[in-house]
Amino acid sequence: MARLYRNPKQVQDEFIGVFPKLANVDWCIKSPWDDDYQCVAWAECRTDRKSWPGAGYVWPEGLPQANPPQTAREDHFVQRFGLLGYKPCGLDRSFEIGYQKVAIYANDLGVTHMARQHFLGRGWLSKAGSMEDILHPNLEDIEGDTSIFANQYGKVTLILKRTWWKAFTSLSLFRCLLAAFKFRLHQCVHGYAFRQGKRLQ
Amino acid sequence: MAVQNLTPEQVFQVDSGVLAILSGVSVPMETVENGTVAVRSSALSSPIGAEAAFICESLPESIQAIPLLGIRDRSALRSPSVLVSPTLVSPLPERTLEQRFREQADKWARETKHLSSPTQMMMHPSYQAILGMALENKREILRLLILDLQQHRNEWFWALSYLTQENPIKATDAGKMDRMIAAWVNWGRENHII
Repeated sequence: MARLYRNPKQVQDEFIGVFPKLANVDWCIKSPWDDDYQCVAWAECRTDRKSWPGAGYVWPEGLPQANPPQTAREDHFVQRFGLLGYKPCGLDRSFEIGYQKVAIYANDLGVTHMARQHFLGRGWLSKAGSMEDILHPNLEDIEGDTSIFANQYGKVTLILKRTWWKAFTSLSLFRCLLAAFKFRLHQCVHGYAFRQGKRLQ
Repeated sequence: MAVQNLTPEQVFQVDSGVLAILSGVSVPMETVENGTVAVRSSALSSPIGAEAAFICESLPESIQAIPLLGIRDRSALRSPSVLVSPTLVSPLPERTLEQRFREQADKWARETKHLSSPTQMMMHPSYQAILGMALENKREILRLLILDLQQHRNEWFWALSYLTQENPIKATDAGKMDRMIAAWVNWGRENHII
């Protein structure tokens, strides 16, 4: 049951329920429902595991962890993504040819989410927990309340970037393309597609 | 100070869950929704349940309201920290532990499915309510958690480790849902929980 191709209308309603700003932008589903990976793993271009600095998740040995009730901080992710070649670049969310970027979201408690910029700058890819991976045009589209009880992602607090060469040599690019190809194949076979504002099914 | 709106439903259903989220996680919190519920953390630094200071001060019949909120030990009452309006004081229908678990587990799964942060997921009142239910019957809650993990793949790993003080998941299996679930299901069978 790890993967589930849900009714696009149901997915649309659920996403807009959680992220109301998506109702006003053009976004689309990029993967099935899948609880085998989450946002941080997807920012790492992995779909086979969950990554988080805490027990029960994959995290490189030697890097600091934060087991509950401790909360994961920005520097945990800066160090982890540093190993993948990423460096902080403030809040510069623009698309730069030759660079791949990831964004860190945080609320009042700590880090809540990560999104990865589309390789060709068509938006940002967010895997929402166990839910689908979506492509949304702006980082602000899924921002929300920073209260620790709000069950929202809070705000973008830092953006990291690395060169395409680093993405290529770490095989990340290949993994991302493979995942995208599998989903596209399923779309073609089953006619499963959804884009906010442009219903394809 | 963080603000959250608690609904009457939450107040009645969570029993020790409200205590758990306030005293277990020690998060400063103040809640006001149309004057119905106000929770202050100042008196809630004690461990879950045992000495939590709850009192219904705005009602003449406040003492009758206390059992409805899951507070059994009246000697634990120390200082005002919860104000309950008359609209909240109504008898709860009798429900089994499993029914209450199912209700909270479904709610938790529904409201946290988009989250990735384990801390954020654990902070959810329903998660804390389920931890609180373990005070009533820990073995039954363990059974329900493992079955729910197996059937619905809801992530109860931290709750299971917290309640059992064990972790049957191998380091190499961390982050891999299928293997983590299998590890806890096997643990449950070996310990005759399920």
